[in-house]
Amino acid sequence: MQNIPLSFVFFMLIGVSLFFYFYSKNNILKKAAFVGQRSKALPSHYGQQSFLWAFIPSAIILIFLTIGGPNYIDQLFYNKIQELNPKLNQSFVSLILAKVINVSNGKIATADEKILSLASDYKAALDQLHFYRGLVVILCAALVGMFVSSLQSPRANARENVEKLIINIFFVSAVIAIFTTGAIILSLLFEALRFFSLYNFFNFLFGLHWAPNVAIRSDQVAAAGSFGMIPVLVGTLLISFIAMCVAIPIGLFSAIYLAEFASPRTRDFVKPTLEILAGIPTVVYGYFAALTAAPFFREIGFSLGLDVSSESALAAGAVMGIMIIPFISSLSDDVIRAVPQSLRDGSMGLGATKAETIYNVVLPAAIPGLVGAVLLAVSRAIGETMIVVMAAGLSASLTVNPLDSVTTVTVQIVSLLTGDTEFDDIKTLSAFGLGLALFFFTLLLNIFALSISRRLAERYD
Amino acid sequence: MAIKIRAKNVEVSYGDKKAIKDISLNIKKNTITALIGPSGCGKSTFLRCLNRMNDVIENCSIKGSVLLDEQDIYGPDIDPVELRARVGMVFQKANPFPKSIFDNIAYGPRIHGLASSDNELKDIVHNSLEKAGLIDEVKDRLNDQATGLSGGQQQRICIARAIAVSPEVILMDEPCSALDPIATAKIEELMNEISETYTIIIVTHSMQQAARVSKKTAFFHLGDLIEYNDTDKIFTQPDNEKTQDYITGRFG
Repeated sequence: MQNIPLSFVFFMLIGVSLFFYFYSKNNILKKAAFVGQRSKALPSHYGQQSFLWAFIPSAIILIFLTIGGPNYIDQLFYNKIQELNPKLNQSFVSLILAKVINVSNGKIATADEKILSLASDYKAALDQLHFYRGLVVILCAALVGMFVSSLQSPRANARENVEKLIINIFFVSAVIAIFTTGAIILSLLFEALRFFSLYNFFNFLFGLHWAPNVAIRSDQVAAAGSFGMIPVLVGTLLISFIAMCVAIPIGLFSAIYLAEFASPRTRDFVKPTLEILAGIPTVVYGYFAALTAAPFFREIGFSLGLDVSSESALAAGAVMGIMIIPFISSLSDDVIRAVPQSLRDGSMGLGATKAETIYNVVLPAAIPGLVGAVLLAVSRAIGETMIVVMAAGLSASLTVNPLDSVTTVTVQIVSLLTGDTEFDDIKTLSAFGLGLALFFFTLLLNIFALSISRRLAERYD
Repeated sequence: MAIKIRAKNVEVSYGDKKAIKDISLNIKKNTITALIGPSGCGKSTFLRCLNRMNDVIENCSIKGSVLLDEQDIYGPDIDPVELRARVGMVFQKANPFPKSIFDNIAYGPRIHGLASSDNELKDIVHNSLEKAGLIDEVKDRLNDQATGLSGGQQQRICIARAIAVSPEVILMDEPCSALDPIATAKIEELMNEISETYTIIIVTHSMQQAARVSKKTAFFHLGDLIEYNDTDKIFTQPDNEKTQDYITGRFG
């Protein structure tokens, strides 16, 4: 049977739907002329109605068949192989199935008769699936399109139907976004639960020692790992705190300058330049932190007689702060400029200076937005990965000394999950525990930020 | 009666566009002067010259001189910030700060250091609210948000806020244009009461309002001062034909 490729089906589907668009558009005019009155909606609305009805259900069928079809065939062949070799271990069945699939699409060759016959069966099944997929989708589009366009009457309002359909499309899009987030949380949660079945939850949450060095193979000798997340969390908070000490004053002050003092020409130059900072890939900041900032702080520390680690929290935090400046300055600038000019006039009209006006009137009115901007930046600092992977340390020491080397939650997750790892190992699974902790931490922060800015917004509304 | 403000050949342009041309006008002390004229005639621009609020606007240039008590307010030794404490302003749209009623009134006295103690500040706030005829309405909720008041009350808060700095002149830029007739009547009544102690200059689109509240009226048209005279005279037998047309509603 002939294989109909996906792209062909897709373009055919669009073609058929477009056909019904133009067909209905013209047809409704004829119908309207026949009954001797104007159609209730514009002719293009009837066209859109037919297009959407022909396109959407068929597109959904197409998506299901494309994703679910091959899976179904795989399952069929898996069962078939198992029936042929009842004693075979599950993973060997999967192996044979993989071989069959690879032979069927010509990636590998084999002389094994059994496999060859299975492979040709598999190819035939897949072709059959693709053929019927094309047939079903196009037929469905054609039938539904014909059905809808023949039912259309100039007395029925197609615009209402089209608008309802489009509102539903928006709704489904919103739901998809929420479901995806939910799915991400669930996947994190399930892996984390596996970790907590191996390691006590409270020991993880309140433990003061982080040393995930366990034996990966049973013949290796290593200490039993210890997974107390406090040192890692403190490291994250320390670096984020340093970053905020850099980013909040500079970002806020530059926003005040831009919004209140800069001439339009300066503003046109400075604001885009600041926003370029936001476009630099974080890995470049990582280089900067590891190769420039860290040695710089080390030198200064030495000249002052201080012992600065070459992977100091200070260097990573400072560079992260620089990365965050444009977030704070750009958001705050917008917020400050949104304060009505009438408030500034009122204050100036009473004889307040510009500084008094900004301090007493503009900033208080902008506070909710400013708090939002800062807390958004904090969430970003906590979740930032690349800079700390390159510039912060790996060993988890419980310290708040910015000159020491600390590690962060994100660094640990990266180091636990990269390289050859087994996914049923406590060491690997602990990464999901950390991920879940990080997720809840930023979630709480965001909820806190929202509630604060909402409360302040009420006060200053 | 004494002259409070003497404007001589004032000319204001925004970029290349001249907003007002060669205006000379003397404002009497402790009276209400109304500035009337169709939209875009330059009356608000002229008003903003009197406390240098035009300084805030970019590419705005001012020629001529404005004398306040015979002292040029555009002179080199004048600080616009001090000037605005002497010449207060109330705007078209009520613009109370997003603060409590008390803090709104106390704003000016605080920044100018007018009160040496908390009690003195309270007295100033109380007196200002009393003068603005608001005290009975708000005395029990001085800590509420000023933005929660009605539009008319908000505008009277703004007047009280201006009074609290004890200015000599109060400029009002269409203070009633967004208010209903009852709130408008209250503000006009208030203006009448305070005009014994303050020189008031009001820009208004309502000719009835000008006729009701002001002693003197100036009619502006396309950036020119067409006629300036006693209000009674302007509204009964104007000298200029354009004034006649405007007040009878033939244009504008």
